[in-house]
Amino acid sequence: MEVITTDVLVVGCGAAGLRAAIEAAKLGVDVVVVTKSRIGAAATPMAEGGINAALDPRDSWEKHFIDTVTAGVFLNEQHLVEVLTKEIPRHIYELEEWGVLFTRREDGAIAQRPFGKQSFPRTVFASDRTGHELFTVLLSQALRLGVEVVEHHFVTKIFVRDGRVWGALAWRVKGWDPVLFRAKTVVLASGGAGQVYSITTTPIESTGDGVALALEVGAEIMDMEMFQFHPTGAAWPPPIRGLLITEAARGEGGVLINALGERFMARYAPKEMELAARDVIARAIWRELQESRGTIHGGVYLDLRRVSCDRIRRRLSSTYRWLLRYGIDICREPIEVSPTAHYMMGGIRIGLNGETCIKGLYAAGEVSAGVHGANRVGGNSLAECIVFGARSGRAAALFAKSEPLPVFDREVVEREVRHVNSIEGRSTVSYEDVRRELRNIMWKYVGVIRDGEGLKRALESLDKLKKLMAEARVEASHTYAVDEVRFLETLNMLRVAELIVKAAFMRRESRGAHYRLDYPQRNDSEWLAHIVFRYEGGVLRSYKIPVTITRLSPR
Amino acid sequence: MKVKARIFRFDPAKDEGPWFAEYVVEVDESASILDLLLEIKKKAPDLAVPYSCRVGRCGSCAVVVNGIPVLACQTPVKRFGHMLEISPLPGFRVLKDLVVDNSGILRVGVEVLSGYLRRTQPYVPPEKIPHNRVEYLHEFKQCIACGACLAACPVYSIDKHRFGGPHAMRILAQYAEDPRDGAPRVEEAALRGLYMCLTCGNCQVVCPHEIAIHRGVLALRRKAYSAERAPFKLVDVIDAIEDPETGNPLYMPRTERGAWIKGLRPTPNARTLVFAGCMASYADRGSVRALALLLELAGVEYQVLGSEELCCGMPIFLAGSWEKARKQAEKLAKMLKSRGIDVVVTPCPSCYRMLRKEYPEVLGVELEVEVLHATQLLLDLLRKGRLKIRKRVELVVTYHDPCDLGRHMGVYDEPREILRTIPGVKLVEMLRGRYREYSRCCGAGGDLKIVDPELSLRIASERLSDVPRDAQVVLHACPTCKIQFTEASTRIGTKLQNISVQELLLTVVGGDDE
Ligand SMILES: Cc1cc2nc3c(=O)[nH]c(=O)nc-3n(C[C@H](O)[C@H](O)[C@H](O)COP(=O)(O)OP(=O)(O)OC[C@H]3O[C@@H](n4cnc5c(N)ncnc54)[C@H](O)[C@@H]3O)c2cc1C
Ligand code: SF4
Ligand code: SF4
Ligand code: FES
Repeated sequence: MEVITTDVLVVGCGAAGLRAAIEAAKLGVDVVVVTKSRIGAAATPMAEGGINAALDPRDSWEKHFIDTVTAGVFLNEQHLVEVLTKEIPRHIYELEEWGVLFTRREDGAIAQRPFGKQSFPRTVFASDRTGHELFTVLLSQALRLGVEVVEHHFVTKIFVRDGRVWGALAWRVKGWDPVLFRAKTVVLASGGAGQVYSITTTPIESTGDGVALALEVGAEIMDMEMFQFHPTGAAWPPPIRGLLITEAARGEGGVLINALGERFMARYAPKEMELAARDVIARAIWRELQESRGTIHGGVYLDLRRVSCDRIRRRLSSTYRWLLRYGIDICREPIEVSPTAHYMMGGIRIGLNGETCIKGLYAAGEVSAGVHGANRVGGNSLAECIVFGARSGRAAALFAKSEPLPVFDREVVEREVRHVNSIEGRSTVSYEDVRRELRNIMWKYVGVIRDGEGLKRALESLDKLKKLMAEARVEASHTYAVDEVRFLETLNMLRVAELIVKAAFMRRESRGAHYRLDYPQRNDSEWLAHIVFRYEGGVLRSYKIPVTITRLSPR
Repeated sequence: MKVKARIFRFDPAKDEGPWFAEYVVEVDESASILDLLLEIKKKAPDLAVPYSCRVGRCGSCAVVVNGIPVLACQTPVKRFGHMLEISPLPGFRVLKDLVVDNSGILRVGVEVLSGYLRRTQPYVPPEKIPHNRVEYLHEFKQCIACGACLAACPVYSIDKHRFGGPHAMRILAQYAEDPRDGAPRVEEAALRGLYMCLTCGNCQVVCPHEIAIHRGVLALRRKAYSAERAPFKLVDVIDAIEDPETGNPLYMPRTERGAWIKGLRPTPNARTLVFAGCMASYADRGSVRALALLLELAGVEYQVLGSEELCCGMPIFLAGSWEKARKQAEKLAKMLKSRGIDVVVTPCPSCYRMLRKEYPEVLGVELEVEVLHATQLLLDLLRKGRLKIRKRVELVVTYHDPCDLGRHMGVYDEPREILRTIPGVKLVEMLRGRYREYSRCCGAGGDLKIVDPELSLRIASERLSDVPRDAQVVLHACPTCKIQFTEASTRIGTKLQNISVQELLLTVVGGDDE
């Protein structure tokens, strides 16, 4: 078996992973980044809108803080939000130092635009491909610093002994051989889990692997019920179902119309209308669809015809061109939209330096929890990736410097190899069916609107799927073992889905992205708290912990 | 809609070699190639399909459909109709089926080409940068390293060792224009074959973000020329063009420039000018003579510049001296004005592109005349009935779209329309989808014919393999392409004939009142 030894192992090649790698490499330790697919396949390069930072003298980190915590309905870990909002401006400049080029104003200064629910326009952007801009520069910076980026390697296990990380097992997708990574520290930056829903904006890699991996070794997982649904995913035509229609379409003046021709937001948010919070609009659309006021394709109309075509072509150029390829001219006809799973607010519980409750294990980016609370502000997640990527990278490197390489446990490795090998074979159950069914169930019962009945049903269905999956096998194809990867991801998705459903069931209130029909009110006296999951002695425990409130209390 | 797809299959562990499997599937009218592949995967679960983001951002999903490199998730099936052949991107190692190992592009970009910002001045934030410069750079920064351009580049496909390819050119062009970067990008570009690029634009048409790499190359060459990095051969050619005794890139005496006019009947002071251009004047007189004769038949009066005619400056422009090209443009502008000309018609797409587009848009020289390519004027005359087709020819032909006429100027239909009006002529398009905007360069673009004639001819020979087997004649709308094809045909020993559209037309028309 191939063994790769390193000081810091970073799992994930998105903004968080690369930023962590850079920081660690700067401190002179060996860093390896692994990613399960091609370099470039991650949520990061897909981010269009921008990244938030209080740069303008009239803005301040305090305002950014308040906006973030209010949007998160006070479920944010405020000490995390404080470092996020304080530190991101310096990072924006540092990114430019490395080559990122943000869009400029007429006078040549960095331009900033408003993004949903901000008290000041503080979103910095690079045309409509901000994430891609960050990604390419971070990647080049990491490679320059000698970071080794190992692609097409799927991590199936983090190794922990006595509460201390010592490595990870990955499988080379080309050839399906196990590769043992011996590492002093591991940074999990494996992104979100949008793929547990049948309708989603996220890339196929977003299967929640990191949450599953961390849960298994005893890390705390929290806020899993908080999943952001973007109100405007494309609903039609089928090839683009779920894909993101940027918030800017509404920002530029697009309106939402139901099948009866009503501008229905008037009923839900008469003041803010189409510019209400994401969760409010998502729920409004959901309700319209439930009450049969949707189109035959299960959407409502996003109508931009009142916006001048010239403006559309200039300000929404890539959306315009993209939809045109699918035969929709948004200058002349409305596009059908419906909510789509977008972002996982929950994840691994971290401290200020991305540390988890396991020594040597860090988490950063979408896989971590706490920054966004019950609802994420657009533009805050790239910021989170950068700030906490850097912090965890630094902490991991410093820790690695002070520690010897932990000994490795051959027997555990062999057991894991045998376990993974056991998925191969023939069976009548197809993992693809399980995966599809899982995603449908999650969408149906654990989507924008939830209730106790539905959640119970979801849990039962997931149980059945779990049993089914235990019988499933995958036919070996070792040259390019993408089916093996999808199979193992499905196991992770089952794990993650289960946590989402359980937490959603437990939280008997409505807050931010989590809306319970049977408990429509927010209830601070009982639920100003996180729901945490953790394996202890082989059993999954769940418990409530209080929210960290440092500066802003919900009065 | 029902689609029949032939899919390239290859599992290096099991298969002795690649094979094609055929699938018939039903997909939505609006389906993308990726949707089609995923639909097929339902029938053939072991088919490996590369994808991740579905929105054109990750660069995983480039494949070749009916000969053309495309991004699967961004390309509608409809574009190709009901019969598709899908294979992996050429030039990369096939991992399995349609999945190739192409992320090396990203690595090479950083590790070999120093594709990262190299500041030489200390950084003091916040940095002000003109916003239009940022927009220009953003266009180049859109690259997702999908590799489609590499598969489409005629030079890179045959000489990877000397030519860095469109990807390298894109990176270097980007950093060379970044005001923050201080690294010697132009020198690097010169070492990586800056003057081997045909500036053909093949890379741009397949690029999912339509990055105009050839424009970046021109900008790099401009800098290279100023830094005295242009190849000697081009410096010499510029001298020849500026030399009053020659005035052309072929080193031919000026006195012979008007030789093509012998026996023709130009009208002094006519409003229309037949502008031959250097190539037609010296090396392909048939093309311009046919044009002039057709005008005579149609009763269109025209004048000529004879031995005073000037080079349009294209070779100078491509070499990177915009200043000298501008001087040439100004001289020509003055000459046209002094002769009271309203319409310039030329058989040469390069002259056409220079006069019509590069003069005003890049060199800032406005001509107060209408500039037409021969095929445009001739089609107009046919439509107006001033030229009438009197004969039938039984001929299977194919047509080669010149870069300067097609991709650079968007003229695809006029030559084809002319061919369609000739009874008996059957037009079959070039193979592998390589026609119209996907036509491949004849090998003479970007001054390559001057810089490396051998490579240029190899590219032309390669292009000949796109000619359909049943075509008896290749029709041309460009003297240079015609010469390239003719030389290449001789070299590989085919009987293929190469003539210009107007030469064919001349054999079948009569004038208005003949
Ligand atoms: C369409 C879209 C638009 C968005 N727009 C914005 C925006 O405008 N502003 C904003 O702030 N945020 C936006 N977001 C959210 C933001 O892009 C993501 O939250 C953020 O990029 C996550 O970065 P990350 O580094 O945590 O994870 P990712 O970028 O998702 O990277 C995860 C990495 O982990 C790897 N990985 C996962 N599991 C494994 C495993 N088992 N083994 C090995 N490797 C593994 C993956 O291959 C990948 O390389 C958007 C998201 C989407 C989908
Ligand atoms: S312009 Fe033509 S020759 Fe130059 S890089 Fe692009 S495809 Fe290749
Ligand atoms: S330049 Fe365009 S075609 Fe070439 S790799 Fe980049 S995105 Fe792909
Ligand atoms: S799937 Fe990402 S570019 Fe096509």
